[in-house]
Amino acid sequence: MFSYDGVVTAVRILEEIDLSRRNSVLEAVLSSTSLTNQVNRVYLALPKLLSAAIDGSIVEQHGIGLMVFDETTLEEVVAPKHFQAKNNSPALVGEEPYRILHDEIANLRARIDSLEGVAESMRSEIARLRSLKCSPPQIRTTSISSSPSPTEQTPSFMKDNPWVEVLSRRGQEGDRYVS
Amino acid sequence: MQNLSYKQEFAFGMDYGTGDFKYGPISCGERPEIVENRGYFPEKESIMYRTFESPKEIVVGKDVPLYLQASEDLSSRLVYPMKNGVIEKNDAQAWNVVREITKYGFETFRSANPAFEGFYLVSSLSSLSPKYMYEKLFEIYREVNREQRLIKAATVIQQPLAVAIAHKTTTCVVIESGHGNTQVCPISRYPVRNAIVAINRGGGDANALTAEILKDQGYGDLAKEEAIVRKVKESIGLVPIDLDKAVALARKNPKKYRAKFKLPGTRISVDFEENSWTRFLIGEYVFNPNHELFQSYFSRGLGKPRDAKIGEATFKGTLDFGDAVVEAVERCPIELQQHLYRQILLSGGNFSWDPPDNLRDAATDSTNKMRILLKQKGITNVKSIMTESPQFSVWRGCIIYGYAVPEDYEWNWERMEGWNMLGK
Repeated sequence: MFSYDGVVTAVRILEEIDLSRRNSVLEAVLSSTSLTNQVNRVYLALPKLLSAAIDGSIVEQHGIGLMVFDETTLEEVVAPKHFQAKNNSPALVGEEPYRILHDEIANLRARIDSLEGVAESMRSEIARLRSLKCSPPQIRTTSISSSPSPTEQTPSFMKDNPWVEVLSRRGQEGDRYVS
Repeated sequence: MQNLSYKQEFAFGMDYGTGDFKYGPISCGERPEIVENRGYFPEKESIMYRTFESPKEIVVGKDVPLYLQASEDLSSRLVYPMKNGVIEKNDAQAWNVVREITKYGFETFRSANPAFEGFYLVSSLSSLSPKYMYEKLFEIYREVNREQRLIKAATVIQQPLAVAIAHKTTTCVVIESGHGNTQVCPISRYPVRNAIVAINRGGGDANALTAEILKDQGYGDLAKEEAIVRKVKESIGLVPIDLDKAVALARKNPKKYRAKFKLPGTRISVDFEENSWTRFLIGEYVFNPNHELFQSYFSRGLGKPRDAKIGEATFKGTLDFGDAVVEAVERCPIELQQHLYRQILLSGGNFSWDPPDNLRDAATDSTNKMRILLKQKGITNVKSIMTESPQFSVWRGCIIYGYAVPEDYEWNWERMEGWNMLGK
């Protein structure tokens, strides 16, 4: 967290090692959201490798900025909203215990709100994905032929196949079984 | 009398392969639907899992990638049920995957036709699959029918029989060679079950030898990457007509036989230079790992293929493919043997060897190598052919079987054939 020209900015950095921990991306988004009433701008910074795991529109919706980096570059992908900080961060200015407690409750409320927001976004995103895959079952039919002989629709591997005759005699007397 | 017009629409094939599940009714035409034969068990505590309106215990088919979570989960949660064509009797997870993928196969083709009374389902298993696997499959099909009557009658056939049917060959020897093992199965209108020979050697063993050769040439870092090793094997490996002669030719003229490979889209390249003769070892090892040249690799740590008991079958480790065919054929009636040698059908990715034209003085393809191996055993007049569309041939054989076998030919555990009416 740092302050420049009167604007307090918080950056939550997610590293590649976090890939090994499940839900780390989701946790990072949530904890960043909770900072929006303490500071003026909030960024989530993550390695390029991880960037595919984040839907930019979700962080944008919550006013969080997104930066991606690799060994040589740092790039702002989504610009953050400017928040009107309700209070200064305890890390920057000392607070009385009462004030700190009040802020913590406010933070928790904000986290719950943001959690609900993220869950709602995910629910609608998942519903959208489900609607894509829930296209009506593909039903392939061929018309029932009255003739048992191969038709034009008969696949090539069935045409002139001696097995059709051999197999149609299964169970008939004289059929030889080698075990 | 057969109701062929009904079967012309409602014969259904399912091929439970090690990697892929191929499925679909006869109306699919030339090729079936394919999904990976695997199931994903989502973590029930995950937010993703809970967000789904009707969470699933197992996810199969094309949806699997949508559910995949962090990579640490995959080894325990992503289950490929078939191991060398066998599922352990008490492997509940694997059987649950088979149950779900079977239901998935039917969901795609649920029929709205009022004439529909259920599919004639023909599924296929490895010729080495034990009897309990057949029992388990029928149990699963009964369960499917309890939810909705989708199966009118079911049967299970062996994969080599299906391959022979798809290739219009009623008397032959099918050699199926995959990543882990090889099955040699004589067919004479029926699979000759007592004559099946199993070999504990497949494409994976040739990969292991390729890795050792790479290490010897100074490419130890590449030898650790299985995908790269496989690419190297496929690109520079050659099947020799005669290993001693091929090695001598390549040593004399390394420029002509130079083994050089560059991985497309990368800077990775391999060049065996004066040791390019080793490329012939790779192909030879597939067919015959008994040459003295392989001994130095075994003594330096290459795992020698060993005899193994998998399911109810004993798989031989170092049996050469020529001996395996002879052993299988000689277990059949004498009058049948000459007919079997006349049609040898090679199936599976481990037979994909085809040398460049300029190296055909020393290298050959799989069909010719089989002829050469059999000639060394005194067997001539051999016709050896590769299967066409190997990925689909088992499913095609299932479809023909389902179409042609009369519905009153009931399942019999002695002959392991016929229609099981599933307790109708």
